[in-house]
Amino acid sequence: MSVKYPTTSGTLLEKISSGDEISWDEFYHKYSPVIHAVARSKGLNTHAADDIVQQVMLHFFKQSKTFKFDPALARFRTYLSRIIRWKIIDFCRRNREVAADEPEELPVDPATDTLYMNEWRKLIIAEAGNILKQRVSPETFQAYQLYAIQNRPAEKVAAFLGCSVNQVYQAKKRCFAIMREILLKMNEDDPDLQMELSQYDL
Amino acid sequence: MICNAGDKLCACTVLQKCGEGSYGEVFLAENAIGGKVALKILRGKYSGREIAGLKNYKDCNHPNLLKIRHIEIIDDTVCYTMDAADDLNGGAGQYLPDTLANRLKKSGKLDEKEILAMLDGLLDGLDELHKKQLIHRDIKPDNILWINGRVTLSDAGLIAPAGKHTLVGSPGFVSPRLLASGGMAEISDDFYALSKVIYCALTGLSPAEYPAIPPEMTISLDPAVNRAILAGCSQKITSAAEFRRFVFHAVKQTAKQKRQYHLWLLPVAAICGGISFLLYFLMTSKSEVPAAPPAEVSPAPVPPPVPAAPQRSLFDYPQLPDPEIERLYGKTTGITDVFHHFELFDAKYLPELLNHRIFSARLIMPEISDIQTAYYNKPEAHQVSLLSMELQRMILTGQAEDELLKNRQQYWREQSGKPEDIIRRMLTEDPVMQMAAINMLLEKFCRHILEVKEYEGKFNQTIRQLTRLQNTLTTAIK
Repeated sequence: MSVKYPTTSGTLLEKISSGDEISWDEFYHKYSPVIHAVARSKGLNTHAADDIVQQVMLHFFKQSKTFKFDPALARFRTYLSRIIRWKIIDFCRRNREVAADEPEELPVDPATDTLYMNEWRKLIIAEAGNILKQRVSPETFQAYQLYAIQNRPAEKVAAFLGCSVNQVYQAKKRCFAIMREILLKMNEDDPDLQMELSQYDL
Repeated sequence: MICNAGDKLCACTVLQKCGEGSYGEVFLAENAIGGKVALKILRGKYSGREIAGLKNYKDCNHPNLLKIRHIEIIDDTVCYTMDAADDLNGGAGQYLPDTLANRLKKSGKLDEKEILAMLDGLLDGLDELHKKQLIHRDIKPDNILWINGRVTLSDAGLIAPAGKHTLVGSPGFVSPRLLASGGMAEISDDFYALSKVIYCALTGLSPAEYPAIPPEMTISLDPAVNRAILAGCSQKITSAAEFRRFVFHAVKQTAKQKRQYHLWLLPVAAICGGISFLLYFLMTSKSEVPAAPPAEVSPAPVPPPVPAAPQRSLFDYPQLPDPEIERLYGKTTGITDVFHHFELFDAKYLPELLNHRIFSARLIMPEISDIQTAYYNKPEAHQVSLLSMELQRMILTGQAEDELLKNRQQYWREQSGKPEDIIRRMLTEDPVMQMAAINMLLEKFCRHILEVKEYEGKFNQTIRQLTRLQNTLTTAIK
């Protein structure tokens, strides 16, 4: 199989924000959980939520296998949220009789907004993890993941990786510092995010 | 070319489609005598490249490489038959080729035993290709098949001579080096892809998720395989033999350690006992009260318990006077020289030394794998110096499991000066560390006697020599 390889090493969000081409696969893999969760929070069943995911995907990709986001439109987070809302309204209209007094827009729903932000934060943590992966050695990343994220005993992690327990502690310390740095930068870029950093305190 | 069930092509009857890629389609077909074969039909524009790949491949004949049975060129279409993969459904339902990709789809991941068996065969097949200076360039789970239960590397279409300058492969399995070079393929790129394949099989994750480890994976089971993956993905592996040593030696070690856990208790207990006795002796010898003359019939001494945290400095321990060292070691002046004297620096035992239990090798140093790699690549003289350096560093920096050794290590680690000077002083001035070094070697050779019978005579003699040295040293310390 011959393939065109992307040469950028940025994360998906960075690529979207800077107007790089994004593939269907990348987008689907990253954003479908957020879209699905928001749709479910609006009382849609799993199949309907899947349909919303597809509709949002089609909106972005239309006839193409890739899409480019115009950063002038809005912050991508805000833009995606708006598209999800529209697609939920469309779906609801298509699937029931439209009452004369039915609102054009979904009413503002703080609970859904909070859920969307929480899902987005999970996504940001995953993005930060991907950036971290590029910045440390695979061994350091595994030590961090196994010890600091999965809470496995340091001795077992050290034995698995063939390093000293002290190196496992050092890996955690180093990765926490990098994660803090990445998330601080993300908070600066998008102040509404308010990513919690205390979990990366040593 | 459109192909349907029942069509005759390449002297076969097409049965069903069983795979598709960007280059073409693969069908299950039946030959004239009823045997099942895989029939590949290429799309026109890729035919030239595929034929070039097949030409490169034509002289490769190995049980772990897929055999091309028959090839035909009809107009612009190339089609050829190969051995068909086993049926993963076992004949129940539609034919599902037994590929690694399908196995992973079905069961998520493979167990360690399956991975090792698969790796063993794949390394053999790859070695055959690499010996001919050919590179596969598309190792991925879809291209690993089982035929009559034997793992086989398939898809010869991208095989090219090393150094070929075309960027091809499958996303996730193409090395960053290859991407950066614009497609100048090297043998290490195949090992990169193979390492990613093993990663997928071990973790059940996609190659993009490397080096993540899933939370449900039992990490105690797969250290050797994981370390080989890390080395392969860092492109430190450049030959099948090197990959094999990485995985199989370490696995052998782990298995041996597991199997012989109870045997380890004996020497470890003996060492602890010896150290306790030594400590007891040293403590009592510092007493203000003169030692009682030896009784004519003295009862066997009962060793006291080891103090929890002995607070001693180096100079609390008796020093061997220089002439005494000379007498003990002949012309040598340090433990390293003793080892040289006994011709113990045989580089092939390095991995064993590195896995020694007294100074848990896994906890020693991150550079161990680098040193091992270097050791396998360097000439003999360098191997010897690496081994000697490694042994010394192990004694100084390894994680000693005994309190007394920890205490002594801590002391030496706190000394200022060049590391080699500290190590030299440690091994010539500190009897506890000397004893530890001797015990390390004794254990190593005892294990060899138990496991490698053909060396019995040689190592028995060495053990006798070392035991004598140990006894002499013990007496001298007393």
